[in-house]
Amino acid sequence: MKYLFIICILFWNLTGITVAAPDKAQVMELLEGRHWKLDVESFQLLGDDTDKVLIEIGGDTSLINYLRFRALDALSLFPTENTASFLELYAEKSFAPLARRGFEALKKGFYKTQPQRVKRLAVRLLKHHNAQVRISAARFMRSVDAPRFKRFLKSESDSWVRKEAQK
Amino acid sequence: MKIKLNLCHAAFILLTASLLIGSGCSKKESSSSATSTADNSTSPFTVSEITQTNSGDGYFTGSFVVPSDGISFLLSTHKDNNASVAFYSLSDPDGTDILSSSSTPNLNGVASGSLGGSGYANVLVPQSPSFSAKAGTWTFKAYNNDRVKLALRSRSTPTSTTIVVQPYITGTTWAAGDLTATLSVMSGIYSTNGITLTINSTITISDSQYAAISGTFTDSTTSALVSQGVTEGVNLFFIEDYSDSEHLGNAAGIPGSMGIANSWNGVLISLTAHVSGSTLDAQLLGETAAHEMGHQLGLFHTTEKWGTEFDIISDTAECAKSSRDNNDDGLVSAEECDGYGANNVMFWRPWTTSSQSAGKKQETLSSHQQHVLKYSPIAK
Repeated sequence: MKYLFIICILFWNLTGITVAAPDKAQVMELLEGRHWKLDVESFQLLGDDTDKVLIEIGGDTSLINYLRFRALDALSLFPTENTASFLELYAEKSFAPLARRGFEALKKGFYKTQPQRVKRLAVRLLKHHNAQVRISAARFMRSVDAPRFKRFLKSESDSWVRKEAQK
Repeated sequence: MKIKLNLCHAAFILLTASLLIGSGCSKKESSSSATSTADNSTSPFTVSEITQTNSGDGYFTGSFVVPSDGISFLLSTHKDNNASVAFYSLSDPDGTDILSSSSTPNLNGVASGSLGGSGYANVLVPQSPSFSAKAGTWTFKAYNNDRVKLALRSRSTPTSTTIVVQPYITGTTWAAGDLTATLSVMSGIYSTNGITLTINSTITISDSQYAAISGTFTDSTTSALVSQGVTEGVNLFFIEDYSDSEHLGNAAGIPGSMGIANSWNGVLISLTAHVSGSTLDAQLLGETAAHEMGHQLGLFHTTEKWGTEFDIISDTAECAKSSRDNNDDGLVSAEECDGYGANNVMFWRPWTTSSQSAGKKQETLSSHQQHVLKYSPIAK
């Protein structure tokens, strides 16, 4: 019985090792390339705790932007509460290019499971100072709340923004 | 043995089928594209539209003559509604179809004119030193299209080469002056490899709609921007950001369009993606600009990310997964490929920041890559 207990402890520890967060360098490798497209399969193979590493990369202001941008996109594959909170924070508080990507990742990762949460953020972003963020929020709104989208079109002063939002 | 890039048989068959279906529905008459529009018959670089004949089997045929002093050409097929276009065949004066997989050498599955493209596809000769713009009559058979154009270079001997570059900048975060160091890096890279760049003054495009744009060249806004490009050189659009992709930069094709004002006549390079803190990384940005310009002029990645696909050029180093993927993650990094092509301008990914800090650069082009650039229709 004692040996069985020891084996169980060992097995538990080994299991713990296999689900541990991947090495940061391993994640960074998947964010590299002059041209980049989210490689869903490769990221999913990294395991559930990859979100923690991606959040670390996305929030690292010392890193070059393209790595941070891609980390946010990849976070959409790991829809944890940590991910949602991080993306919401960045969508509202960060500089415009990161804000738009934060919203886009939240939309991709959480629209099916938490549509109201995504919509609440989109409503707030319809008034964002940056046109690209407004366009992104408006495109989402068009698919979930047509009357609000129409109100946005009436209130939006830039004609090109109205045009892009309807693409 | 070099492996051709991204040839997906199933996709190709589907594309071929769709092209044939589209062709079968066409009511185009051969006379609709019968007007020759040679821009300047005395210039060593001419662009003309080629008269096509409906061959009755769903294809359109045409021909053109490469003069005895011909150096290179880019044959392109266009469809204004961005439907699929491609060439079925392109035969040289000896009757060799360079788009046929049974010819040696061939561009089957390599040229966009063979694979097919949305609204635009082309064939560049030479895209490697294995090809040449042989003098005589070339004939082609094309799928349904609105027009076929030929950009032909002749007369000058490519001993010293100059390429005109026209930079543009969009958005309000950075100004033309912020590109000085970047353009210097790019110019230095090409100069080191035997090509002189004549870089025009950067044009600022202030319309806010162009600050962040799609990386898809058929997108209406991207198309409107790129179509503003000059016809006598390579257009580099330093955009503030992409609106829908995470590239460092992307070219309109391999190659893109040359000498024709259209949606494929330039490359996009993201400024925001190249920023650390609030500083533009001029070295990396310059290398990206050089890389995208290489694509636009017909160069492929020397090694692709998985280390299993390589370019069609025989003298570029290959970094094979089987021998160089030291950490066994399925990818070949620049660090793993040090000494195996990682310093080439056209390697698939840049060095990591720490390697760049240690002085690693991507500034090399092989002799055969230089040949493609020196013989480019847009070069002088």
